Amino acid sequence: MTAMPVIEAHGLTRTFDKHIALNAIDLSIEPGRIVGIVGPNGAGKTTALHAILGLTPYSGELKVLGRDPWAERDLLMRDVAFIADVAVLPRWMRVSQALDYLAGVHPRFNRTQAEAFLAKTTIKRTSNVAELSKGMVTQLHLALVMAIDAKLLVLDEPTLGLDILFQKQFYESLLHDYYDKNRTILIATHHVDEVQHVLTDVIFVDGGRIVLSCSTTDFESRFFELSVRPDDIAAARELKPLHERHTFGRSVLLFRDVNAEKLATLGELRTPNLSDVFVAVISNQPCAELPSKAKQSTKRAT
Amino acid sequence: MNAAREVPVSRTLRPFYWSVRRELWEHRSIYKAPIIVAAVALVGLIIASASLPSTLRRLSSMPLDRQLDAMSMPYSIAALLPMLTSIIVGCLYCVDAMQGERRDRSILFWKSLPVSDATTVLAKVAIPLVVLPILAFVTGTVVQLVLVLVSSVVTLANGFALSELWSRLPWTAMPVGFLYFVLSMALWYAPIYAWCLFVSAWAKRGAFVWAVVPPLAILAIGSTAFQSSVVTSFIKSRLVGGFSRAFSTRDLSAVKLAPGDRAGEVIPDPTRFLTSPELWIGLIIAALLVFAAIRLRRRREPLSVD
Repeated sequence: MTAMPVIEAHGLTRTFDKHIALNAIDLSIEPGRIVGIVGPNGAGKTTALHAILGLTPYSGELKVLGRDPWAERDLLMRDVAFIADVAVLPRWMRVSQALDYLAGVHPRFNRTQAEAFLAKTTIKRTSNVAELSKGMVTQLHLALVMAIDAKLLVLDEPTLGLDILFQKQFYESLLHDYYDKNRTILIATHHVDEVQHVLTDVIFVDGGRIVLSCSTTDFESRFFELSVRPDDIAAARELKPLHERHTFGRSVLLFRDVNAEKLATLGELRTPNLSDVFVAVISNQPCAELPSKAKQSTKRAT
Repeated sequence: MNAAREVPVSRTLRPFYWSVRRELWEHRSIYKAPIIVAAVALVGLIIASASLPSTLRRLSSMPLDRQLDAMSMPYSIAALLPMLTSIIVGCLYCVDAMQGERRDRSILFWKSLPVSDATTVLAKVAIPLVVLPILAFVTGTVVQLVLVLVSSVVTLANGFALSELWSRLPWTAMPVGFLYFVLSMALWYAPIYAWCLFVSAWAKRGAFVWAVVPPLAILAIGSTAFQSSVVTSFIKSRLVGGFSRAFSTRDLSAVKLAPGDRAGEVIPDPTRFLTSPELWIGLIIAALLVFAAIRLRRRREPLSVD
């Protein structure tokens, strides 16, 4: 039995006045994946998530867990959990009130479990959200969300403004206490390196388009970073690298879909960081660039 | 961890009830303001009850209707103050109710839960139409009961018979009239609350100004233009005309007269109120505005902080 995709989009488009936030995106996400949507600010990440969550209207086709999000947001949210950024929990709310409210409205919220998560933190039941530190608010939101037996968890810049310790804890609890093969997690961020190790798939978006979409295992077999021996630089450049940078007097070339054995003869080969590929892929996208930059690059090309 | 997840969580969900509770958590002035006003009124009325003995002494020289008016006056004040407070609180609450959640971005949290926009908005509508009237009635009635107790003690302490006081108190007319007053005013002011809620959902900032200035401007233009339009007269009658439509002055030539009925007494007139077209036009307008607020909330995202 092939599982129905959790998210399926065809020609998903969202325009604000004259600005195109999402430009005819096609997307299919299978259950059990941890997908990172990575892109610079204003690339359309949040708009894409909001469309998936039924928070913003769109044109094109979009089905999330078989439902039309815009028409059925309240029903969809029984199976979808969402953490926007740290500041969306109402500041006046007491921790106990948050638990009461969720237990009162959410069919898949397990209060005992949320209490168990909170017991591992220093968060007091009587505190207001306003009294908690940024990290504690995130812990609280995560405790609430992890106690929801959701099929899809959507995270928009979940660790924005958190220190490294909290960031690590956040993703650790996500992987150890929450993730299983029946759940799908969608993480939008521009902090690529922070999420690299947790993802099964990565989608690069820029200028409202998907510029790269692949699994992280494919990623390792498709992208290579070559630290070229100075003598072989011309030969390496002939293989059309995606990107070239210089560190410690050596040229580091990034390749996509090039024979690895051939590359290995020209220098040291390794799997690149997601962020390096991200920079290379984004800067190779003509549509991604600002008009002034685009002019410069055409000048350079001629 | 997984074992805990498999335990079926079966319980009754009450999204509407909890949505109303959440409004009370967030806007504590909803119950604080009427209670504080009632407490202040109570203190004032208790102090004023010091003059009760002299009033009781003068009673026998007054005509009966003056006697009853004099004795029921403190109880009318005890009813009126929490009532007026609840109307003001209701308007202020509605102006903020749908903008506040966008200003603090919490709308993203509320919308991430399986509660529909209709449930959320109707819970907000229930505050001025159900919660506040009930609170006004309860706090006002408590003040009245305490006042009866204090007045009784004062009466007895000054050597009067309790019947001197009790025979002149509006034992049934007051609570019945009060409850009717509270409910009829909630219905009469429904379009005003709905207007405030709609503006709160629509305006990006300055909801209070948007809610207040356009109606005032229409009134100002209407009064300078010498002839009042349909709109100006609608707004005017909506603001001040509720009481005169819900209550009638007793006409002694009217059919049913009970012993003790007095001419000029103001009495509830539900028949007149419920058959008045203005009431129903107002309620239809209120329903349309609430519907518009629900549709607006669906599209609403946090307000950008700039």
